[in-house]
Amino acid sequence: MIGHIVRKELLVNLQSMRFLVGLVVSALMMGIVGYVLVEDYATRMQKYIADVAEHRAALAETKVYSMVAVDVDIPPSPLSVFSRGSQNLPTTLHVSPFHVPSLIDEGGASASIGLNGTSSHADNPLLRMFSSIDLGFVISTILSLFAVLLVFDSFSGEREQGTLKLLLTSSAGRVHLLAGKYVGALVTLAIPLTVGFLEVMILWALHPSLSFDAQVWAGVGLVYCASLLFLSSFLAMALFLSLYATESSSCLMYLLLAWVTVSVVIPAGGGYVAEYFRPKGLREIMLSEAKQASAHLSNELERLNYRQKGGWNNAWTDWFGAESILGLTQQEANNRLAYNQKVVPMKLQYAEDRYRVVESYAQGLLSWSRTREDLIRPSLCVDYGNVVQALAGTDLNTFDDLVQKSRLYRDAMMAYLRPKSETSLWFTRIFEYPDMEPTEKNQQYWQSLIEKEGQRAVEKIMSWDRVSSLDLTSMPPPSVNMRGVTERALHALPDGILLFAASVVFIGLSMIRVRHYPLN
Amino acid sequence: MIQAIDLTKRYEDGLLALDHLNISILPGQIYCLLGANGAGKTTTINLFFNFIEPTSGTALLNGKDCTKEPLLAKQFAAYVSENVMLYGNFTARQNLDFFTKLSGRKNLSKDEYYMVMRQVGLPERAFEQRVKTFSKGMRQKLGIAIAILKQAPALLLDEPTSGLDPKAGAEFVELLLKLRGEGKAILMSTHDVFRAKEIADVVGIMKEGVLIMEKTKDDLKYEDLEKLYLKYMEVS
Amino acid sequence: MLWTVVKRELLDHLFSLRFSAIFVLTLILMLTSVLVFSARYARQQREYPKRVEAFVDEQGTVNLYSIACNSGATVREVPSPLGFLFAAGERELPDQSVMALHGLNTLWRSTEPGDIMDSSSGTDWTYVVTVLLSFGAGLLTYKSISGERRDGTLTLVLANPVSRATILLGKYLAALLALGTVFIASVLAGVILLEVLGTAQLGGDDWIKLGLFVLLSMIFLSAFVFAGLLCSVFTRGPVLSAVAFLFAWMTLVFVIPNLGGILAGLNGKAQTPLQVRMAAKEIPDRYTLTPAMSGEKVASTMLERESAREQLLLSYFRSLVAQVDLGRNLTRVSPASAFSFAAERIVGGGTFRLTRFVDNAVRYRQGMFQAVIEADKRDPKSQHRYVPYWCGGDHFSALTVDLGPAKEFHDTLPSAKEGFAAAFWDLFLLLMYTIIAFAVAFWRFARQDVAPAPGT
Repeated sequence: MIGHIVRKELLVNLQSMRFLVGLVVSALMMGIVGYVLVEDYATRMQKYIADVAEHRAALAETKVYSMVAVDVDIPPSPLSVFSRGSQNLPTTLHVSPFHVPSLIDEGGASASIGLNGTSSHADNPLLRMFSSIDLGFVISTILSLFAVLLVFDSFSGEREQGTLKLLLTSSAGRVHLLAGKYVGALVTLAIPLTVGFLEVMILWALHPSLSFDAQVWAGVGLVYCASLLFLSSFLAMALFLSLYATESSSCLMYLLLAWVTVSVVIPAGGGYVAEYFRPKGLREIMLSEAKQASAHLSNELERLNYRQKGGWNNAWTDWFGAESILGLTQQEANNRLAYNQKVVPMKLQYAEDRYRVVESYAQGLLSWSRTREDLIRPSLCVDYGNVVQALAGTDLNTFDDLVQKSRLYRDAMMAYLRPKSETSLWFTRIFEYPDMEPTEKNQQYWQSLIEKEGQRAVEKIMSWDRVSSLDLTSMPPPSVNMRGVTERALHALPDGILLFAASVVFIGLSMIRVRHYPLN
Repeated sequence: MIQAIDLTKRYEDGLLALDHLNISILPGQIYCLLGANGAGKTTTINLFFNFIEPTSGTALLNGKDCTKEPLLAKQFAAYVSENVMLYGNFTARQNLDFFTKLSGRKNLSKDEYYMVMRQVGLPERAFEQRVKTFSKGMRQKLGIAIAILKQAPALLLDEPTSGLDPKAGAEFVELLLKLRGEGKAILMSTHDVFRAKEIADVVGIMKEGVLIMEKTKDDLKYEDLEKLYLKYMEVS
Repeated sequence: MLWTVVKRELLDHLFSLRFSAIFVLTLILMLTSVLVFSARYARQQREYPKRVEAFVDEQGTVNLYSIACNSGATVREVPSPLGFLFAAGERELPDQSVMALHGLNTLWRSTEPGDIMDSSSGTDWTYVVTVLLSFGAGLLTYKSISGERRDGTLTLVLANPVSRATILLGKYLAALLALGTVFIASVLAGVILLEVLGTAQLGGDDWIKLGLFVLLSMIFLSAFVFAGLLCSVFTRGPVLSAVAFLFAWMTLVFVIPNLGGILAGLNGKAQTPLQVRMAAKEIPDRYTLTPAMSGEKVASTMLERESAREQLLLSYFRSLVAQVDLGRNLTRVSPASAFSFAAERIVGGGTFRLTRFVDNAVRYRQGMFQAVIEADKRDPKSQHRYVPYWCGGDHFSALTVDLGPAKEFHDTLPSAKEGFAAAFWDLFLLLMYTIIAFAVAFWRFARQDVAPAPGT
């Protein structure tokens, strides 16, 4: 019986003008957005590969241990086609003895326009002012609208045509009819959805530089299922609301208002409201504590009389961070070593302190941002957005996970580096290059070089470029990996369950309501 | 007053709805158009109000071309359709007020509206009721009230009595006769042969867009209109 | 006659559910955006630096001796008291410039810890107008013709000596009035809230801007009212009209504006960071120093280098803005885009405002430089050789002086007049869209059979 009704509904839907127009619009939209985002992904992938190479080269060039810095590049997610995620998330995590990666202390990709741009800057930072849309957005706005258009007149339309009475004179119950209409509409909606996914897959297949593994395909499958679940819950909601109106055109209007509330007003308005409740004072506390920590360190450094103990002028140094020095005498180097024994632990401690301050601020913000998410959860579109973001791994949670992993990696790295901080290899390498040591003999030699070949010759000798790089093979390799698809699915589960629950609840309510739907 | 000259309408799908219609109605005359569904009666009336454009020929109201000067021509005619539809969210009086103002008459008092509504036989309680609660008969009456209030010299009525109960139908006939007495030219399309015979000064029978018979009241004295009608319907 | 039609339509709208729903939603969104704005504005005001720190010390004086070496002076955009009108994308743009006395170094936005948690969706009135009220325009008009045709009231109306243009115009005016009521009431509520909160003081020019924004919004909405009427005229029944409007709305409000970034990105006309870096590296080769040069010559050559660097930066910046504008040009086919660009200009935001800020920063730097040179001239001990990055020696005065007004950075927002002039073409476009939509709707409606063909 239900199969019969479903078949009829499907036929009616497929032959309707709105289906055709909707299919064309959604296919076009998904095609354009898909194309752009696949291209975007390919570009970001290229940039990622370039960054990795650059950072690897930079690491391989490291001359002293204090300068060891591992830049963990975060690969773009292939599923970002479905959910682009925040543009503000940094693509690189900085792990070094003097910096503990934290959720909010990685700088992000700031809109900076200057003369010494690098490959890690976006081509045109001003383009970030354009909002970007992704397939998740297309599905949650266009296909949900499509869902509304499919079911708004499913009962009122039949009533107006007079076919409703006729239908109910047959042995089909009202609940059967409802189920039939629901399944029919869902199958109809699955068509543009499938077309959209196929478009993306074709774009992937046609793209010369992309290839994907099973994990990605499993992810695509999950996103597809989540999309179906979302559409099913939206359909159920629309169907339920449509049972409260007896006239098609007014019913359409109510549903559109519901749609605009769910897909526009709640996500925007909830964001606004949460913005107003942003925790106050946290930031000031964080800033003052960070200032305190840094003032403390600089006082200590001042107290130890850093400058006189050697080599300040020739040092490439960062007050709180790494340093590497050329042109030390053996005596100066020894002084430094003694000094470092006091200072380096302090600097490392400072890195940890600063991290703790920032992290507590981050946790405060994170809990606020969770509140904000909860505020807008009543919107099905938001739930769906969360699911897709979690599946694509472009959400804050996945990023946080990466940050934590990189922190763990830093611990392993520090276990290797800490003993090195007590050696002169921590800050200088001159002992391997006796001609760079500013002894009297050397200075005479340099003077003769200047007379013969000019300043350049000395610069060449004194250059770090001559110094061979450290052998870091025994340092633990970075092991910061994206979550696997199963783990991502687990994180998407709560919102998925919410969508499922919404479907069930709305269908249940519709089944109760349909019994009382007036025939006249 | 109401005149059609070689009025022809062919729809885009090729249907010839009206074929060289020639009629002329003088003030103080009631002209009844008889014919089956789709004979072209409604099309004729639609053409007078420029709801649709004629393929050829002219429709004149008080000598004004309904296609070329529709606004001028429409001042001279009021319209009642087969199924009068009004703004459901408005009360009877509000509807009346709106349409009367549209017809160009301003500043009518409530009582004048009430009077006309009483005249067409609308129950008192319905005056300030929303029209969406009205039955078809009540809407029809309100439609007639609107037409009366326009005070146009010509009335074009498209099966106005359909859906009226017998009593209301009889009242309506009386009203029409009174309007005729006031010198109005009335074109009414109807299925109702008896009523046509009762009130018409001229009767026209239409079939497939062609006016196949036109008889005056005097002619009909000696002939049975009903038989005539059936005869013409049977032919061909 | 027209007024009769307008009055009836208006009554119909005012008592309808869709009207109240749109009203409530608009009011909520507009008020909350004022709330959010005022909290953020208060913070921005508090943190806005009172002096340019690296140049001017706490006593308000300038040390001529050390200023040559100072290349880290930061000037910042003054927060706009009208930020609630237009904020979209603003938080992605640079808002400060780092400079030395001899040239601007960078334009950037400091990313603060916590920025990544901000969802930077447009929290502003422009968004409410483009998305919500344009949708409302459709809701109020989609069945105005097709619905009356289906209900049969249209023929009764047209049986009267009232032209079809009047009917259409009446429906247009009524919908616009209804939307205007919603919008202006919400604007008033928002402004009152703003005054009550008291964080942002609006000056005379701001009120003009606000007025222009309201006017602009009404023009934009009138384009959408006509779009709704167009859908209503061209379709058989109200359901089809609604579907047609929805697809049109979707395309105009979501699809086309969102293509802007993509289109701009595909038109890769802007200089890349790498090209700029290469060009910057070549500058010293163009202005070479030789040992034979006199001190004055060295100083002037180095200044030339630095001003060439600034010119490079500015031309790079302009090429970036040009790329953005090019991308936007193509999206102007949608009134929603044209509207938000015009709003951006009238309110003073986006690249328009950023360009103005850069001009202000350059002007400040030049004025400051002039003042420093003047002050140096008065010092007999100085050799009057201002050499960038050479702080020390007797090249330049070692005095500490008060430079008066020149030391203060005044970032002015574009005035309402300038904004209006810049938005003129977008305004013109919007008017054109309105007129075209009206003309097409009228043309179609005027020659339409309003009574159905027999048998349908």
